[in-house]
Amino acid sequence: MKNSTLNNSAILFFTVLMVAVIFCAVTSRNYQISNRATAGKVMSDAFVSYESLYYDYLQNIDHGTLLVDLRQPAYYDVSHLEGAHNIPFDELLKRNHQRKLKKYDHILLYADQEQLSVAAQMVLLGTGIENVRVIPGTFASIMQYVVETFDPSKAFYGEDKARWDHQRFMPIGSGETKAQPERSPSREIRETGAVIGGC
Amino acid sequence: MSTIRNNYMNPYLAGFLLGMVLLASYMIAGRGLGASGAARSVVVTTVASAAPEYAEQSPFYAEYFAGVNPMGSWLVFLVIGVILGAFLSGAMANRMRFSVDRGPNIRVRTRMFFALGGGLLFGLGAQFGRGCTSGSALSGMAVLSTGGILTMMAIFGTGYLIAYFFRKLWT
Amino acid sequence: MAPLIPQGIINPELTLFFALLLGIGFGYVLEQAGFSSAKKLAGVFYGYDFVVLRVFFTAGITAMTGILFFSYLGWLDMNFVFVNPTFLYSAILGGVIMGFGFIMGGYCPGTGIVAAVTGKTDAMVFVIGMFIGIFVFGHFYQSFESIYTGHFLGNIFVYDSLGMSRAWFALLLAVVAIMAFTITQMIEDRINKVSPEQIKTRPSYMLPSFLLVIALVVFLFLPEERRSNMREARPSELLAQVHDNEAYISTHRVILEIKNGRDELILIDTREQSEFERFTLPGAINIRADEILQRHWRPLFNQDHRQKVFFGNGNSSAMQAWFTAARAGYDNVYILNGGLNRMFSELFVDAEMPDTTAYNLQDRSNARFLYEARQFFLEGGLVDEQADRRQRIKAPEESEIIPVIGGC
Repeated sequence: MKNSTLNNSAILFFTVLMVAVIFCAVTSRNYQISNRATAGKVMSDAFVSYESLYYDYLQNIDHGTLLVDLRQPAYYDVSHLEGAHNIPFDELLKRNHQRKLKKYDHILLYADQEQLSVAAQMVLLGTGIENVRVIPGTFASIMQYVVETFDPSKAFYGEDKARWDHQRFMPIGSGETKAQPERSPSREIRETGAVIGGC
Repeated sequence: MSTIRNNYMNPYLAGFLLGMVLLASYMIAGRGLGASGAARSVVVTTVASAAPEYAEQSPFYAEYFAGVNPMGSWLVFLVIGVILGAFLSGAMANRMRFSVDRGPNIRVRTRMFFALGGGLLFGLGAQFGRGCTSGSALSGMAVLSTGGILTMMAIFGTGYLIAYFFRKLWT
Repeated sequence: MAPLIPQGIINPELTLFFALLLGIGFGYVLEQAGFSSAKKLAGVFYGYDFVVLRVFFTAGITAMTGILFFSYLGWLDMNFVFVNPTFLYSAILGGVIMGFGFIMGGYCPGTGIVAAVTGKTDAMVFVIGMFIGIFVFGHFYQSFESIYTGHFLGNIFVYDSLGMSRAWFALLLAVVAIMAFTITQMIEDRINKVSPEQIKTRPSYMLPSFLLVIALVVFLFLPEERRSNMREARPSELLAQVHDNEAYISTHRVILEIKNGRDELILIDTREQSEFERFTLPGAINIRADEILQRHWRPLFNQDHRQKVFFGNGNSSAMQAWFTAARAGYDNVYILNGGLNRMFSELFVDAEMPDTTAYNLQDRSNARFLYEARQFFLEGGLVDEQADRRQRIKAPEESEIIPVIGGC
């Protein structure tokens, strides 16, 4: 019967779609949130300020919040923030740690380098743990400015703040305006293009 | 069983194949199929070259004077393809013969009159709808565009509403 | 990937060839389906022949399913797809006029052309009528213009207009279509007085309908967008790279490159635009972490032989950018270790006269290097000079290129 052509082509089309979907599911990289969404999220809400850390988290201990110490156990054993849970950076993806992290509403990360906390945050976001934020600075700076005595002048401390004044070091400030780079994407690409040409 | 002729393709299979052609069109060119756009290009080119003074006054013909040759467009070549494809299919199925397709109860002259009127309205409506049944309704449905689906519903809705008044033409 | 022509994968000069090819397919299928007969077409309104409805809806739903899946899989980029714009009243008015035209003429433009080709005289008259209709529209264009271009709602999707999810709407549409196919078949049989024996011999369409519904139900359970693809790096790989300090490039290396005016590194400033405008390293471009995945940066990151160096004030914004780029599968990306803060403190705060008495040779050469770099930066006002040099390199290149293009 003529109908078999229709059946066969429908089966073929269906199979192609399903095989493609299954192939993509198999080759996917165990992320729960897309890369684009992760990048967008950390740009908007990545850090908790020292002020907020001090007043909202350390003053009244909230049982929905988990402080995570990303340093190696040896350092953790010497000293750590009160109530902090130790998950060494390289063990973040272990199943039992992931299970524990999923139970909390808020997770605050700290390490001995700020960028490690940031990297950990991006890993956790990617694996679907969404309420992760980073305490800026290092364990030492947290101890110094928040735990020992809260220093209001460091309320918004962060490693990513500029700690230099370029005009002090590069006194020719007048020429700077003329060399000011523009930011429109097309021009940027041409600029890099020119760089290649210069090689 | 005189009305259903079996030498045509199974309608669902034909629909499936048409869907594949439409899908291929989206995958290759990022746009759907269309037929009325080519007719518009023909009209614009003919009128603008025959009566340039007249055409210059209307923004409708602006594309002709903008330096783009409307005859070289995607839609025109699509319709040239349609003509070739229809010829191929008609010749293979031995359906090529001059005839007038009409309902059993009307004369040829009436049929011609209504065909002309129907074509006129379709040409006019296709401008407002930004495409005909293929360009607006079918392609609009494939990408789930609101405008395309509205146009489709308006075409068939109107058809069913007024079908009763034109029943003499077809039954 | 697709659409192939707008993405530049197929040479745009072949556009018209593909138009011709697709047109042949289009015309062939229309003729094969019996659309060259006005009686068959008009039958959809009188219940004696629903072939139009069957072909039309099957085609629409097949293409829709394909587009849904392909866009989900990332094979079809909907940003490059023409979505019919919605001019509210114009669309409805056009549809109503076309409804009249359909009943009276018995064809629509596509089928009219097909019928005219196969020798239907009335279809030829229909096509002539169509030309007249378009001419009439053009003649009265100015009076139609307000409705033709009014109430523009954008290139909107019907599921957004209805406030549904795309997957649910698609499933609903498919179920409605299958129901319509069944019901119209029953109507057609009654009107044509088909005997029950003949109905029994008719093929069953259970299997294709079933597969369609299954496919769309599967689509319902797929997430809105794909979370990752096979080009991306696994989280464990990224974690290991950060942990093993493989992601960093030293400030000394960057200082050396800048000082020697070489272009082996691509410096990428990941800070906010305002900070970038106030000061940045020579030749740096500004891409924030959330901008890295933008399509137009792909060629930049795909230059595998050059090292892409992210830098911020400290390490954090650079780490965000690095992580995003590394996860996306871009190779040869690094973080300037310590960022501008460390670079400045090494260059200007810590750098002292080279201590010739230092025992360790490494320390001594390091100190000398930094001292020289400091002199270089301070005396030359290197930022400006470098920028000037860049300008000079670029200007002649541009003026050279333009006549070449013109000459071709």
